[in-house]
Amino acid sequence: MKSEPLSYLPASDQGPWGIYLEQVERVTPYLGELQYWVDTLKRPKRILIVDVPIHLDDGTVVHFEGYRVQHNTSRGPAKGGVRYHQDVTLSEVMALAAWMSIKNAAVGLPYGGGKGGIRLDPRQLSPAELERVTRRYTSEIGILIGPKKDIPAPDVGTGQREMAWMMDTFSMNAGSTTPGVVTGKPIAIGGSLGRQDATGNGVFFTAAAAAEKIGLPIEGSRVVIQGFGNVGNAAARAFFDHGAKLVAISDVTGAVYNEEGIDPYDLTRYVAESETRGVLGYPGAEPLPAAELFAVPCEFLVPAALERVITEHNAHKVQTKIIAEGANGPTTPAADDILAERGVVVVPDVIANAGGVTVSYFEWVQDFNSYFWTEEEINQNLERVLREAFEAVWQVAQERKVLLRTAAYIVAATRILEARALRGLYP
Amino acid sequence: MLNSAYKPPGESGLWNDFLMQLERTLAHVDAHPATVEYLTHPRRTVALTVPVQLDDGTVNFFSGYRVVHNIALGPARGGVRYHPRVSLGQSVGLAAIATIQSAVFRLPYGGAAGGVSVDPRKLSPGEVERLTRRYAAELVEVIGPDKDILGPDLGTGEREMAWMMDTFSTNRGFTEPGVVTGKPPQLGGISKRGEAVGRGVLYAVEAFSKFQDRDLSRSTVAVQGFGKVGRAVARLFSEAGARVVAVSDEWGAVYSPEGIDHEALLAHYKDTGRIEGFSGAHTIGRDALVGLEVDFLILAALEGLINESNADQVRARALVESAVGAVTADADEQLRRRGVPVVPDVIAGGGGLTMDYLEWVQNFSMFNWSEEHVWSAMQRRVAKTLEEVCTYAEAEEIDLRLASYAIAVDQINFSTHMRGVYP
Repeated sequence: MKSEPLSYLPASDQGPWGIYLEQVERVTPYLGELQYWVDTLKRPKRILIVDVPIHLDDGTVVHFEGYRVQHNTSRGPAKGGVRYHQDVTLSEVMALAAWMSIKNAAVGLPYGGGKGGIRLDPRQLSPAELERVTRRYTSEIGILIGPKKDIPAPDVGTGQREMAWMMDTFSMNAGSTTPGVVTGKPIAIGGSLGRQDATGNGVFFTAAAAAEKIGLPIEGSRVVIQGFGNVGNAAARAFFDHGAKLVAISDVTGAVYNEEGIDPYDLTRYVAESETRGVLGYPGAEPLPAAELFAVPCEFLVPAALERVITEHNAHKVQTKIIAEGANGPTTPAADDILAERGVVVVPDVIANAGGVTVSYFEWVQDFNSYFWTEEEINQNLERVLREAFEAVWQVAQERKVLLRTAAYIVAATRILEARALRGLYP
Repeated sequence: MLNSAYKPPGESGLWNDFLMQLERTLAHVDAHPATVEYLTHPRRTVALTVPVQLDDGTVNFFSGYRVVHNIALGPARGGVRYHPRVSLGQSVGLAAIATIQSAVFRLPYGGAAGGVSVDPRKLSPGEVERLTRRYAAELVEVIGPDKDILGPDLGTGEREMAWMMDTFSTNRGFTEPGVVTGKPPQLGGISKRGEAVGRGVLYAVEAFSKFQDRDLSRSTVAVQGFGKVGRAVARLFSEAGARVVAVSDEWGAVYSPEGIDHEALLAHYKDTGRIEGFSGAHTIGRDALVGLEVDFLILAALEGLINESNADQVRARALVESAVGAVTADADEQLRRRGVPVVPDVIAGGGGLTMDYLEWVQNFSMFNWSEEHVWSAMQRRVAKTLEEVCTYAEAEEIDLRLASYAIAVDQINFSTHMRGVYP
């Protein structure tokens, strides 16, 4: 007998969950005997849909739809962010939860995967309304979450302010301070140092690990970065601090180029003071048409902005040796094939931008002990964890002769199903 | 003095041996009467019936036990044994020895032990899984990372620990790896945990040799037992440069004064299932191993194999008790009179204990140290404990077992006294 398809998503339109299922299908042939357990990956462990009613500031009452999905907990408690966005759907939250399972397993963190969200446009609500939504939502999902059960974190539309409210609501309900129930909190209430730069530093650590494999030195090599927000900025500083030359950087306002190299600290100061709050007009470099950014010859290319920016239309123009995906899904499958043919190493997002969740993990570890590490300790451990993750993925890519992206999925699926097989079926 | 001690029904060899050692210890150290009462009575004994549906559809009932002997120093901790000879008396004895062991290693644990009276080799994997899950489910209320921590012992390993962890976690509703130790590394265990006991023996003997100004690499070694521990001991001692001249298993022994090639013996053992007939050494009688003139006779088989009937044959310069209770109390006394030192089980078996401790600590914060860090922490702890015991034994002119028990009882007595009697 076969498992029936899920009844709560229309078979005709599975949305993002359908994309995830296709990815599972593609990795299944590589799983050997573990295929026996593969349905584990194709079904979320638990889904909770909650009604979130609040008083608006004008005295009326409005109801929102909230979700919390735990995709898998074989390797440890569920872990994943909470998204506030008007387009949030169940299918999307399910897929994001599953991708957290994959990411946590690929990096080797002791977590399963989870995700949550509320269908609302946070820009339409006042801070007090957002606080009421957050507190009510936390209370409603309180039966599922906890430091050993499921640990939410910030995502699109949420940040450390919302995490502080969640931590407070959960702690008040539990009757004791429980900082480990969410990560991404302000430092003052159990957050971790090093969080701001974590993803960008992680991009650098994994790119450097890839460079070692192909005998490429960091010192003196040329770097192009798309995006100068949190991730791009931290990655730029990390490359610069290790002696690389930042030849081109872009953001929404435009792109700048200097073959002698750009000082990211100086550029950051300029951005903070400039009228556009962007890199446009930076005097230390020449302007560059944004469309030409990916064609600039370099050794490292870091897309750290949007998804689907490297496509079959521009992949053949890329002049680099290593692409480290700071953003989620910047490279399309068609572009992947072109880049592979041209010998470009793509460090996939699953591990390249895992610095954030890894420092979330450190935050949670520190919250258990209420003993906090220095920023130096955070970064040393971050480098160790991500290097080990890269090494495991690289080995599989060599052995199975597949792209790093496929290898990361093989590593992740294998780890999840191995844990599933070891634990067996309860009771 | 110990007349009022607990008496388990049926066979109680290990518990009686423990009481004899305790009595000897109490003549040497002062302990409060309440401490003595605590130590001579297990704190909690659970006897269970474990029904298991066999693959042929019939239901079989097995007897299971979990004994917590003492929790003065912290949560109880001890192994789970699957063996036909598991009994309440044996579990009580093992639990008491676990109490002493944790105390002498200065780890924050009390002592516990348990198991199921079953020959696991006669069950299918599915049957062993059902047995394990039922046993763990019956204990859910009394075990936990801060109450009583289970670990592997004879007949159990990573596989059973994974099932127990899963059963407990699913019952509780969240992942709780710290309830068992000796788990697979993928589930929060320590890699190469299977070697921990063997490495603990090696580190203890290294420290013992150092204390006696002897060179382990110029020593000869005989190993009794060729199970998981015996095999690891034979290999690790060879790697450390010692000459392993004899090895025995259930059926026989082999001997070669020039030393035994471990890899070749292992290959022979894998082919034939026993070590007799190995061409790289002479086959000798199983019991002849005990009478060999070697620097170290390492006892890595079952309990009670050095007893009053063969203790006088021992010609080794020192005995190392890797298996718990390998030397009976009577034999221990004979060896003491002859001046043959015994590195006792509570010290020699500390490798497994220390690794379990490190695994449990890691599970609290779900943060794992590197492999090197873990092994060197274990080596330091074993060497330090052995040195402390040897120094104390030398100063007091007593044997190592008595010194270990004295240090342990002193710890437990202090803690019992400070905590007082509730309510």
